[in-house]
Amino acid sequence: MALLELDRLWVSYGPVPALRDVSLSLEEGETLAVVGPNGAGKTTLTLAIAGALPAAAGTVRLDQRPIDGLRTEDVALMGIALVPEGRRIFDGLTVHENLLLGMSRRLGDRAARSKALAEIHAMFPILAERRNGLATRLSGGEQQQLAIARALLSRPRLLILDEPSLGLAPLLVDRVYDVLRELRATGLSILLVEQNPVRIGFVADRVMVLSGGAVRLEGRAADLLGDARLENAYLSGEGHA
Amino acid sequence: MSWVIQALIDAMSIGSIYALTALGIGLIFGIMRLINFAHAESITVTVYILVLAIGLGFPVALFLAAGGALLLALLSERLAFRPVRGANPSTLLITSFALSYLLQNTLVLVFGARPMGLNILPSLSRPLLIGDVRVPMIQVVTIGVTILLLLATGAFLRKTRIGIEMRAAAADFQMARLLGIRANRVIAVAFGLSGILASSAAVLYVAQTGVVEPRLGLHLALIGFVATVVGGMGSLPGAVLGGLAVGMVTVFLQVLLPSDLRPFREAFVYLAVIFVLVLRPQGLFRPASARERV
Repeated sequence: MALLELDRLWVSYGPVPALRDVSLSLEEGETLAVVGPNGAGKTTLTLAIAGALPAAAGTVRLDQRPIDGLRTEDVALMGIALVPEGRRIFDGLTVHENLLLGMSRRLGDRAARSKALAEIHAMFPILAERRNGLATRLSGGEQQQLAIARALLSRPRLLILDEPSLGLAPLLVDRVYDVLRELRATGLSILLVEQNPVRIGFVADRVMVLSGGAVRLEGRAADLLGDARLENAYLSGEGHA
Repeated sequence: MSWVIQALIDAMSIGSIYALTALGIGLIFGIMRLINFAHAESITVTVYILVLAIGLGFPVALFLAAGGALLLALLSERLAFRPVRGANPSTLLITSFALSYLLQNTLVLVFGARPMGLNILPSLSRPLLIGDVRVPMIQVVTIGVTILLLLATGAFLRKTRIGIEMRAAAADFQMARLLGIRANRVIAVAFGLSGILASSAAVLYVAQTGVVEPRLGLHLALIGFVATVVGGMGSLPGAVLGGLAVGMVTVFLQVLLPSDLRPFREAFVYLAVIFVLVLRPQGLFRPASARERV
């Protein structure tokens, strides 16, 4: 059964549509990669699913329940966590305070929260070492780990990552993708947005190409990666799976 | 030398009141990007409740006044600002002016425009001798109470979950909501805290001046706004330090200006503010690297 479904979604900034008639579905435990050039509407897509942008038309459903029109915080509390583009670590807050804010009521009592935090510290040891330091003093790669950890602490059902490798050195990108592989192995549903499709083959089950705000191509990652259709769709905004 | 100590204590005392006012304005601006001129009326309403309730004794009057300011701040958020929260900043600003004028004129209607005398703590008007310097007790109390309030506000913002949520919301409101932080709760608590700070500034101010009039809050809120700009919009420590700085400049100009220029003291204060903003547009206490949130 589909965990997330977008049905003919339109999102506009004023009179300018940024997403046009976008439909997609993501199964429980699946990793869907959305790729596309700059200005394709990828970030708009992530924000619209997370409830931070209103739909002009169409529907977003989680577990078959419409969630478009809900408040951003209510969408988050239903189990959708976004690791946004640029990480958006809170300036002036410590690493621990940033993590604390990720812990939602979905986690349950104090003991469950402590356990979740201990798991996160085991997964990202640097965050335990630097827990009392200012989060914005972390390196780019460490901040990306913090952003992912903060999102995971809400025990999400769907994790959305918007260009997690942006601005990171290749070694750090490898580390981020290692983490994504670990998360995928746990059965977490992931929607991964990337501009560069090179690395997504390591983690994605399916790939979707977004260009000019519309879906240009969609199919199994194993079929599409390395296929000329992907490049064509990416570059020219055309293609059919 | 004693005049310097005297002026310093005067400056710290009036600067404390400006700092509390600026902090209340800065809290709301940090989260909502709203310059709330109706903060003035939370101050004014506090002193008029004191006028009405002082016969019941100071502790009861203080409790009622602080409660009234808190209630007014919460109601103004719920009824005036929440319906226009998503609107552009100029709509929010005009809403705050409209609310401010409505409340100010309601006070004029009920109490009249003429100033009234109010001596809430007569025992604090006697002077305290520190060496050669005679300092009114109320000034020492003002500085002490302000330090306690600033420490308590700092602890609230750093040690409590809702305080950390407020700091996160001030840094990036949308990201805070994406983590499930409830916008309505954070904003309501910010307004409540701002109301408490307004009432504290009001009580300390009227205890020093002993005069109550419907535009009392407007005068303080304008200076509080200037202090937040000087300190650096969006920075809470900047708002506090900006308030103290404006207090310092005001008092030292009063002392140092030739007597025929003293009536124009305010003009010199604002000249200093313009000078600061030309040199440091981001404010005195906000790093030049600080970016405006979009």
